[in-house]
Amino acid sequence: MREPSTGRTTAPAQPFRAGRFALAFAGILVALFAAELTRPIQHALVAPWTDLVARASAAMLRAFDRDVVASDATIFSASTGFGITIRAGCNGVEAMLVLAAAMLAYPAPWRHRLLGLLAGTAAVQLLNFARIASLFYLGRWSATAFEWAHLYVWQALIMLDVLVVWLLWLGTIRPAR
Amino acid sequence: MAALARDDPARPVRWGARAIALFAARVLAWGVPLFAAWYLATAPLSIASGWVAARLAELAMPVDRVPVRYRGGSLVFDAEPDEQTLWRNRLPAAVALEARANPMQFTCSIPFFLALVLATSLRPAWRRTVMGAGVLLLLASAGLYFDVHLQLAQVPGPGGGPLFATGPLAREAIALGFQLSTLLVPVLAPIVLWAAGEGRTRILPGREAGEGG
Repeated sequence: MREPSTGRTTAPAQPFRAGRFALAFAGILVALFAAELTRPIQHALVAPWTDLVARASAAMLRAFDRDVVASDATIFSASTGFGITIRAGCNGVEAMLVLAAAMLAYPAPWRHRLLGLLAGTAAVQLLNFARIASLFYLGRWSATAFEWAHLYVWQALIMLDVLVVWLLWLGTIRPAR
Repeated sequence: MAALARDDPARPVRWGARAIALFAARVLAWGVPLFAAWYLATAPLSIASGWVAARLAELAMPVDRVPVRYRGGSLVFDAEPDEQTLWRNRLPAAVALEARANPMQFTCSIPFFLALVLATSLRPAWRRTVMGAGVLLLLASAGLYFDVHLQLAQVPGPGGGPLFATGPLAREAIALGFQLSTLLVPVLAPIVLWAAGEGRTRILPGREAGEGG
């Protein structure tokens, strides 16, 4: 089938009900978030993922800056000693959980959800890499700029990224008639 | 400026990639002046959210009073333990426990919400927008309260144990509330409120798909 407004091939969808979606989204999100905070999940998934994000970020930064060194979840400058440690909230996990909850709560075929999650995870992690790189260089330049970008600006940008990915994903689903 | 969505809420438009990219660009463009305005308004926003957080602390914690001061961009809460806590820890009556919190970490949801609303329409429903900002201020207060409670719950008494008697379940709930308040609520609540208002009538597929089922 073709979706008239976008002209794209779309997956069939069940009817969308805003109230049901809101409840399912909230329930799934709280469950995922609470599970993420438990020790076993932190130990088995979140901590290794955070290390992986730090190592991948350091490897990408090192491609054009030989001064960058990574140790576990910390990236630092060998010349100045300035470093940033990637922790909860900086590893993109929360953003991925929000996206997962929004896609799981929306009435869509499972294959569509899975593809959306894969593409969404890539989009979130790409922007998260930009966040880590920008914070690393901002921190070397100004502590105030680092704090602003870290605490206020990038949080919103990452969630805007999630919203954009979700809206794009919604556009690929044919609404039920 | 060209409107991104039709202004007739009864006929919402399914957004294509170009419209979504334009929307994101407009959120970013609105974000610059709105975050600057929020920074200028930090003191009154912080004082208001701090006042509510202090009242929440007085309701939920074993304290008599929690005076709060705004100092150098931070809120300083001076919690005065109640008589039972003083007696259990054999403390003098004039004890106050200090907890500091960064209110901007919680109130930054407000400019983000306004940027989403104004990026959707230059003619938003102002009453709903003001109500949304009010809800975010209350959520910021709740975040500050969790921050303060978590800090004070970790203060050791003279005997080495925690000064405030908090059960294990309550401790977990406070920790979860703090994590939600810092990691999710400031960035997710603006989107949820926007979606419930402007986004629902102009962007999200609530009407066109919902009516079919």
